[in-house]
Amino acid sequence: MYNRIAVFRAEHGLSRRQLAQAVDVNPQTIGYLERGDYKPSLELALKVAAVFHVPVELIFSLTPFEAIGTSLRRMGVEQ
Amino acid sequence: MSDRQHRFLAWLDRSVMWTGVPAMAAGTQRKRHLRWPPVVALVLASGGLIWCVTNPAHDVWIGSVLIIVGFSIANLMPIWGPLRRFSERADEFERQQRRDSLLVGLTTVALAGFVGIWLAVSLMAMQIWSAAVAQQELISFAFYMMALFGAVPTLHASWHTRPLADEDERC
Repeated sequence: MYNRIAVFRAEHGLSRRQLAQAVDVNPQTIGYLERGDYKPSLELALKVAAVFHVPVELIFSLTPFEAIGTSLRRMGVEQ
Repeated sequence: MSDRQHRFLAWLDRSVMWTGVPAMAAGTQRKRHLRWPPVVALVLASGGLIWCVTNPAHDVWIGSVLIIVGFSIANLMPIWGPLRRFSERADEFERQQRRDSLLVGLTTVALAGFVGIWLAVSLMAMQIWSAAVAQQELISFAFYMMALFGAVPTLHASWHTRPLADEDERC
């Protein structure tokens, strides 16, 4: 499972500890999640998505996320 | 209270926190990956057991000492290792890690018990071991199994995940 928790966390200016407190886990668990060493339960995935106010599929995916540079280039071409 | 006394008391407070005892009492101590101490414990205990089995008649104390040292090191693993105890609050990652590592540890102990029982019974049946020797070997083996139970779960948990860098943990 792939995720972009780190991207959303940076965008919202949250530290790992703050996100961990918001979803009631240990900060190390957020680290393992971001690194892809741990697949979260549905409950934890939903809690993380709720913190960022986005649907869960925007943060977690079974396929790799497109690189941000690629997305920006594609958006530039479309505009 | 003077500023100097205040600084001294603050320093004493920091010293106590540094020992880790307050965090341990509160159940909030930092869990660390212990990759090599369980290996050392298992190597010592296994070496001691091999010594006891291959030298049942003389110098058994050498093997026993090695097993006891391994057992003592293994007993420290649950305190400082990455696994949270059942009395401590654990999140879902830590619960899964504890479950998986304990399963590996218990499987190892069960396998060791199976091999040990058949080895002891076979050697006694072939009259290679007397009852007195078997009793002595079984005591050593009991300590060996306790060392396995202490060290293997920590070994599994410590090698199963890569440690996070210090700055990552502090974030």
